[in-house]
Amino acid sequence: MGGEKTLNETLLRIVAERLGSLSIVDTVRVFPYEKPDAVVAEFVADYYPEDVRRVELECRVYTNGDFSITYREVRSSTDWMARWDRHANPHNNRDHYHEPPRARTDDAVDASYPDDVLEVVSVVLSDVDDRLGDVWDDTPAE
Amino acid sequence: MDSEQPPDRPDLTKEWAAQSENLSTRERVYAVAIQLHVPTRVRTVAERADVSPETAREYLRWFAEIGLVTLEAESPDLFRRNEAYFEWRRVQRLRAKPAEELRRELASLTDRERDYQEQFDADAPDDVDALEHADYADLETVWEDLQEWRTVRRRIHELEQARQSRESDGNAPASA
Repeated sequence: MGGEKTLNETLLRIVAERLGSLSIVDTVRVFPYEKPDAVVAEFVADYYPEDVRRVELECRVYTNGDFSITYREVRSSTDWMARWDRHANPHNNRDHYHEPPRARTDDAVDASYPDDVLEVVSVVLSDVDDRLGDVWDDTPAE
Repeated sequence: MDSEQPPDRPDLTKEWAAQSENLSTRERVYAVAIQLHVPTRVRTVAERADVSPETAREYLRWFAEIGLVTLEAESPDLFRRNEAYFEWRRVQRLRAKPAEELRRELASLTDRERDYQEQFDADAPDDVDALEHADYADLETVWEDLQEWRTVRRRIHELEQARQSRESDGNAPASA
């Protein structure tokens, strides 16, 4: 389902710069070796329970309007993930959402996102805000 | 509110909106222009950029003049992102880099391509059937890897283009 599409590097650099100035973002890596299509924003750990080792938001955007944004809490047990996607696929609408906590192909539900990717990021951040409120409830005290 | 929670939890949605409000008119229209993957009306661009249609039209005409977008139709005017411009600009930026840096980048990209070739046991991404690999990872992840492989190949191609065009100039690049 890849097809011929080009990474929108210009737009991703804007996304990287803007994510980098959010108070929760510690570092932003632009097209790192392991993920040559992605802008990866790593969050400061202070807002998460100890079990959460690392939190990152990964953005990929293409010149045909496709995108994929993944939110990942790397935990000592299973990671907690959610994923917002726009791309042709055999399982759902072009706009779809892979539900947490696993965000696997099977976890996708149809969705509808704004045309503008910077608006989509706003939708994602609103979900992350909700998650920041819930994350402590999800972590049983040991 | 849970008492264990840090009290100063940020409001990311609000921070993002505040950033948007602080953008200049040019930045707003530019951010929309680089996403015009289908021919789009001025009014739509104006709405997305939150500027007046007159302002949007003025900037789009200017962007068309420098080649960033193309005017695809008139009355109503339809503008579209010009892929050739962005490709040209990427190569120009590479040309301006020191030869040593280009060599390093090329070596790193070539290593990365070898990683993909080993991972998928294939010479090129188009030779891979994603479904055959989806047992080992999510289908989405396999597509993502194949797309990244295509990006690596494109970057290698553009680096080579930049090096060749510099060599054919027969001298060091101007620091553009």
